[in-house]
Amino acid sequence: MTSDGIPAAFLIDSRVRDRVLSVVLAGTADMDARAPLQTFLRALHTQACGLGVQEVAVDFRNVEFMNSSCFKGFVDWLSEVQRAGTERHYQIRFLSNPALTWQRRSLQALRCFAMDAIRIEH
Amino acid sequence: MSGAHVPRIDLEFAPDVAQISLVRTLVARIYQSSGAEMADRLGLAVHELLENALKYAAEGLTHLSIEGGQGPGGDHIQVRVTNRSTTEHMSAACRLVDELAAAPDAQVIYQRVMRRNAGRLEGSGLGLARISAEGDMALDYQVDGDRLSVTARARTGEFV
Repeated sequence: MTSDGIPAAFLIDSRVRDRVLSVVLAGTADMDARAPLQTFLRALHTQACGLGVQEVAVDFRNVEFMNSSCFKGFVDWLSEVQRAGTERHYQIRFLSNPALTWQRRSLQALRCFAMDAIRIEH
Repeated sequence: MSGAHVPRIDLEFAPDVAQISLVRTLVARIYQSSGAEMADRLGLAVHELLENALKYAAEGLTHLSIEGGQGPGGDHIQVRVTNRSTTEHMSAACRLVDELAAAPDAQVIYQRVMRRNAGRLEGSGLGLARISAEGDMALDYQVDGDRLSVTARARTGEFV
């Protein structure tokens, strides 16, 4: 949220270092963020496999809110990861902000969805 | 919670994407007096229900009400969103609310809905299940002609 109360725009940044693909998200993930986030997440699995990373770290700490359409993008990504089975060579780490209580519930739901692939760091 | 004043909101407007986030933030701030968790849960319900209205309403005008109440289950705060809708959307929404309400465990049905809708291209189909499981809120609906009201009710003082 900006100082004048306007929801912050949604930002996605990613980089690879030491076989870790780090994704940093920030802002409000609402209906306007759905398409760019889905496009990004659809390419993420291919990119992670292609680069041979050991871990994909997704930093949610500055995500103020995420709607169900954007949340669904993660469900789709995790489904793809699960389908890959032994072809998948990376673990997933979510970084959450304990002050944003929705993150605890939403990220835990994603962890239940793909228990063997995800760990959550506060 | 009993006897404590619960703020009341009654708003009729034609929401756009930015306004929905603003209303969610406003609701979360107003209901901080009921605790940060409750404020977040109400904010989640408001956001998801208003986005459903924006996506599926037959016309833009949407009515949002939030109020406290008492019932056999104890004190609660309820969010209700009402809008005109198509028969197709009303049927789909009512079926899902019935399914969620009948499920003995909100988390189990949430995971089932997530798996069922993974890969689905049109809409997430997760908003109502998310309110039920993540928001720990009971869902209900009313149909009056072409008007659909969806209510999410949070019991106060029990969330873990």
